[in-house]
Amino acid sequence: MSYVADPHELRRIAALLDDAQALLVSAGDRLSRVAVPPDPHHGEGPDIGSALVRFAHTYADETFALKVATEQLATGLRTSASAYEETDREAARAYRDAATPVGRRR
Amino acid sequence: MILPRHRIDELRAHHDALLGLPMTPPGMVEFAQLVTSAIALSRPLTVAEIEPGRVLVEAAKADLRRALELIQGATRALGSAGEGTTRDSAQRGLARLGDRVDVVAGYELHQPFAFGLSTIGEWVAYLNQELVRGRGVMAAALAGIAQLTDLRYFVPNEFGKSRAGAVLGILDCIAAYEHFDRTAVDAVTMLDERAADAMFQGDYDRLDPLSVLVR
Repeated sequence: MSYVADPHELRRIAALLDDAQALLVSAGDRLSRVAVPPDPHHGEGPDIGSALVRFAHTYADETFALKVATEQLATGLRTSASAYEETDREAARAYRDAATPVGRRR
Repeated sequence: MILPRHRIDELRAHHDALLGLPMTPPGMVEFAQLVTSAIALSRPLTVAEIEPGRVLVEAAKADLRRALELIQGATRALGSAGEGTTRDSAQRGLARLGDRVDVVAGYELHQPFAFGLSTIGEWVAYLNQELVRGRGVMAAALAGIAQLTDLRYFVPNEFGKSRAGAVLGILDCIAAYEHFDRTAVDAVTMLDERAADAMFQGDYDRLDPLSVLVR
């Protein structure tokens, strides 16, 4: 199994997810602001307005949860990018050390 | 919202009162009052109160679609960003996230709201059209009665014809209201069932944000 990744590309993808997060926040915000004035006669008939508001708020919650999931994936990609870079640095250091006689190592 | 049911009850009462009117000049005066009131009770409805919500939902859907495009673009880009278990795991997570956003933006959100907001506007337009027709019939009956201005020449047959016209107009309006009311009950029931399904679907833990990915 090989582990090869381009950290710059991973960060670019994470930035795409940042943009998606902003849109999900915007969508959730709009859905949570859906409001219909209460019906003074709601006891007499079907209250379409309240049903729509309940429904919109359910979807707002779901959209915010999707935003958090997107954020976690973006964080995971950035962490992976950093881990790849650190691994590369450690490998380069080990290679340098291996190629340098013991007495001349700093 | 939208349809106050008391309008139906009052119209029914007007209908019954019209049928019980005496065929006399005083009855004609009462007729004019009842029909005027029935015309007022059959005034067109408005959907202005749901319009701001419709605009918000349309904008939210557009945001969700753009977010979906970005997530799908990220999933594709990740395919050429390298290889390994981390990449594979991230790609699977992104694909599941994209699927879920697609469901929210595309079907589950779109269908009920197309049903709930845009279609409600169409229902109200249809109802208003029927109300306008019923009001026209009642107004014609009122105009017919207005021509019998000279009570010395009161003609019971003409009064009877006007009353029949007004009763038909009221019945048209009651039928249109009842049809709208039944449709609205069905819509509310369906919306509530969908919301309940969305909340209790699978083992969804609302405190775990990533659980949306495994539903």
